Amino acid sequence: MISKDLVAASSRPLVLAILSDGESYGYAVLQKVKSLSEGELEWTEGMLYPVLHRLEREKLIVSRWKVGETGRRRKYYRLSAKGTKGLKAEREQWFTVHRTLSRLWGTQACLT
Amino acid sequence: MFDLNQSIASWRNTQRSKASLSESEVVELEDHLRESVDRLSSGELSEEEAFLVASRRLGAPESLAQEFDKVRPSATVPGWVWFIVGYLALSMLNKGMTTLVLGIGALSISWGFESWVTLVLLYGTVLLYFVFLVLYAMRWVGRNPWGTSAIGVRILNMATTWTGAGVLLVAVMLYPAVASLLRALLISKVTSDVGTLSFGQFALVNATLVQFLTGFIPLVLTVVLIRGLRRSKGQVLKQVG
Repeated sequence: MISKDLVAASSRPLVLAILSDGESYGYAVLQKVKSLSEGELEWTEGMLYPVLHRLEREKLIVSRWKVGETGRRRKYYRLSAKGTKGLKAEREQWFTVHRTLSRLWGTQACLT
Repeated sequence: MFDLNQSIASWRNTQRSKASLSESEVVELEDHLRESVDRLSSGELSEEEAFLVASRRLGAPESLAQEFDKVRPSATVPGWVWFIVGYLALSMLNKGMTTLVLGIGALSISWGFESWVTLVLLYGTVLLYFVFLVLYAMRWVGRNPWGTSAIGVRILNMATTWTGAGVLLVAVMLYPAVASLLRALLISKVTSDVGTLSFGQFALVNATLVQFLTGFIPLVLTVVLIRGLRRSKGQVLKQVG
């Protein structure tokens, strides 16, 4: 199981990366994280929303309300132009960390 | 018999009061909760079990409140700034109300009303302060009588981000209440004991002193606030960015 600190730190690039695939909403983002990490990355579900709101305040993502198939109002998020740049910066940072650790531990955990 | 809508309604109320979430935040979380319940109850779980699991997965109101508070703009500004802003806001409120009540009081005297009308107005001010204090105390213990969108609650929420500020604010609010009460008692004593002239002199000295004190303190605090903001501007902006 991934530690709490690492889960919190990785939430930002994860959300940005998922939204770079297209518009989405909270529950769907969580499901995607769950399936991609095969259940290893476990979030307290409500904690995703402050992350989304912070990214929105930083103008990395934009939101709009839509009425979904269920008839309920739902808030959808998508990446902004600034967010695309932000995601690129995040990627570089995480790759740097990964590269450094790989050199220490060998190539076993290579990302590609 | 389990009623999902009723359970969600009470869950909503808890989020509004305990986690102090705004209406749009509650709507967003509710959509999540409902989708989660739908998915879980389409499997082996009953609707009631699904609701319990889904609401637990969403997180406890207290920890949600903590996380949401971190991303609010008020979290990026130091507590002492909010304290001074809160003090200034309350001072202005105090000054505005006192001026209004004293003005009405003066008019009522010049129109030849009995002094009891003036006293009722002065006691009214005191009462209003106590009502305000009670509401503040309710907010303090987590019962929100206004809903989260009211401006008053916003100001008070900001003040309570720093516990010491809250205690001092109560003292600040208590001071005018006690002062108004004493003033009202003094005026009623003076008007019954001495003639109109002495009452006039008394009122003039009293008003000058009170205006000086209530005007001087916020003035000093404003200077402190502006100086402090200038100094910590870089730091605050860094935190926001």
